[in-house]
Amino acid sequence: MLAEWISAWLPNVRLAPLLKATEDTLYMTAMAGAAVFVLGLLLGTALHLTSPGRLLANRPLYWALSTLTNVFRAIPFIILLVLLIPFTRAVVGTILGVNAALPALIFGAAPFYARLVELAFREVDRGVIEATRAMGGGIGTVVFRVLIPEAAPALVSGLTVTLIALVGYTAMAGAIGAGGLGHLAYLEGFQRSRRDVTLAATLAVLLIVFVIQFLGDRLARRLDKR
Amino acid sequence: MITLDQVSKIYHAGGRRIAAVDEVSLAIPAGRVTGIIGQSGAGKSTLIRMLNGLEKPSSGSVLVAGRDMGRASGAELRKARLKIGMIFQHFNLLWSRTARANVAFALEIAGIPRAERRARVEELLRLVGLEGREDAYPAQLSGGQKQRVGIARALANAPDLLLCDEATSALDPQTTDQILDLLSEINRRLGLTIVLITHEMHVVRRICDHVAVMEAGRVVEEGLVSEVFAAPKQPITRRFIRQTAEEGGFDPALAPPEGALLRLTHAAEGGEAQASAFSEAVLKLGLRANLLQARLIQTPEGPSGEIVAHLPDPSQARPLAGFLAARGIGVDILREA
Repeated sequence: MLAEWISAWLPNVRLAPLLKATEDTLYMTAMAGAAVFVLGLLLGTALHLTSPGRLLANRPLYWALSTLTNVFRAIPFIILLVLLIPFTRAVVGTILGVNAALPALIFGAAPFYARLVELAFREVDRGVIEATRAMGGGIGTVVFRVLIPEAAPALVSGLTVTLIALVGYTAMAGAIGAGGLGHLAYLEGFQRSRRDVTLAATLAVLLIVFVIQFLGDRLARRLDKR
Repeated sequence: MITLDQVSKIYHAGGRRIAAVDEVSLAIPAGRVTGIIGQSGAGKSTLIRMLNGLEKPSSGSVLVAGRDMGRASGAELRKARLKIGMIFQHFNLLWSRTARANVAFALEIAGIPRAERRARVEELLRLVGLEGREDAYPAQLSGGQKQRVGIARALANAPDLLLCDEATSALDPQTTDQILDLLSEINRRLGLTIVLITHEMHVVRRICDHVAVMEAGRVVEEGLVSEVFAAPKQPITRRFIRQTAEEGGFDPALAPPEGALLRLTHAAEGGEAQASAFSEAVLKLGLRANLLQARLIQTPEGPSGEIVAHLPDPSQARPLAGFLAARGIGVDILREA
C-alpha cells in the first residue's frame, strides 16, 4: 500500500534508502541526545551551583563555565562541523558516516541544553532548598533529591527542544557526509534534481520531530504535579 | 537550651554597613514556647536562621544544646540540624512529592531505612491530623494542610527544637488558630522547645510563654509574656499591644487618665467562683471600681477570663490585688497612679 502510494506520487523515492536514512538520523539523534543529556545536566548543574548566591557560588569558575558555554552556543553549527574535523578524525578515526557526526552534534547541543538546565534549576523555589539544608541535607541531596526531581518537567521540555534541534543539526551534518535524511535530501534530492526525494526526506524529518514533541509534552505533563 | 551571646550579623551593601542583628544576647528556655516579635526588617528572620546555622553570625556565639552553631560546619552541622526542625511561612514542600513522601524526605536525609520510614511517616501524619490525605500532592492541599505536612516533616527526626519562621503568616485567621493550637499541643506532648518569629501579636498571646521584642536588629525587651505585656517598657512593645487592642484586647490609652488600672485573669474552669470574688472584694473592701472590659481569651493553658478594672483611688489597688491573689486570681497592676 505504502509502496504503491510512493511509486505513484514520488516516482524516484525508493523505500529502502529512505528507511536507512531515517534510521541513521534516529541513531545520530539518539546517541548524541543521550550524551547531550548527561553532559548538559553536568554542565548545567555546575553553572547553577556556582552562580552568584547559590550553594557553591564562585564568580571566576562561573564566569569560565559561562563563557565556554556561550562560545560553543555562538558558533554556527555548520562552522562547528568544519572546525571540529581534526578533532573528529583523531577521536573517531574518520570524518564520514554517522559516528563522525557525533562529536560536533554533542559539542553543538550540550551547551544549549546546559543553559536550559540552568534555567530550569533557577526556577526551583529557593525556600525548598533552604528547607532541605535546614533538615541536614548536603549538596548531593539538594541536587539529586530536590533540583532534579523538582525541575523534572522543565528538564524534559528542555530535552525535547534540544532533541528537535539535534534533528536539524543531523541534517546539516548529513549534507557534509554523515548520512541520514539530510544527506538523502541534499545529495539524492537537490543535487540530482529529484524534488520528490527531498519532499520524502522532509516528511520523514517532520514525522520524527512531531513524535519527539508529542512524547516530550506527554512526559513533562505527567511529571508536573504543580 | 539556647544561649545567644553578643550576636551580630553585619552586611555590607554599597559601602554601607547594615546590622541585621545587633549585639543580641538572649537565653531561650528549654521546653517552652518563645516568641520573637518584630516588624519586617527587624532582624528576627536572620536571628532564627542562626539557630540552625543557615546564617552565620559575624560575631558572638550561638549555643544550641551546647553546640556552637556559628562555628559548626560540614557533617557536624548537618547532624545537628537533624535535631532542629523548621517550618516556614510558605511551607517549602517539594511539589513533586506526595504528603507522605515529603515527610519521608526528612527521614531519608537522616538515613533511616525504608521499612522504618513507612511506619514513622504514618505516625507523624496522624499526629498532625492528616489521615486520608497521605497521597495528595501539595498542590492538592489547602494552606493549613500544607503547614501540617511541614510540621510533620519538621518533627520527623524527633527534634529537641522546632523553629517556626512566620509559620502562620500566609494563613487565614481560623487556620492560623488551628495551626497555633497544634504547635501548642506538640509543645506539651513532646516537650520540645519552640522558637517562633512573627509580626503578629495574636500569635505570641495565644501560644508563647516567653517573648522577645526586636527592633532594628536589637532585642529591646524580653521576658515572660504575662510580665512583658502587663508592663511594656518600650514604645514598640506598646505598639504591638495596641495591635491586639484592635483585635478586641484592652488599650490602656483609652482608660481614664487618673487612678489605678488592674488586669485580672482567671482560668475558665472555676471562673465563676473567681469572678464572684471580684464583687465580693468590692463589697468587703468598700471599693469604688469600674469595669473597663471583661472577655474570654485563648492562652497556652486554655481559655481564660480577663477583666480590666479601673480604681479612681489608686491607694486601693494593693489591698484589692492582695485579696484577689489570695483567691487564685492573677493580678497585673497596669498602672498604680
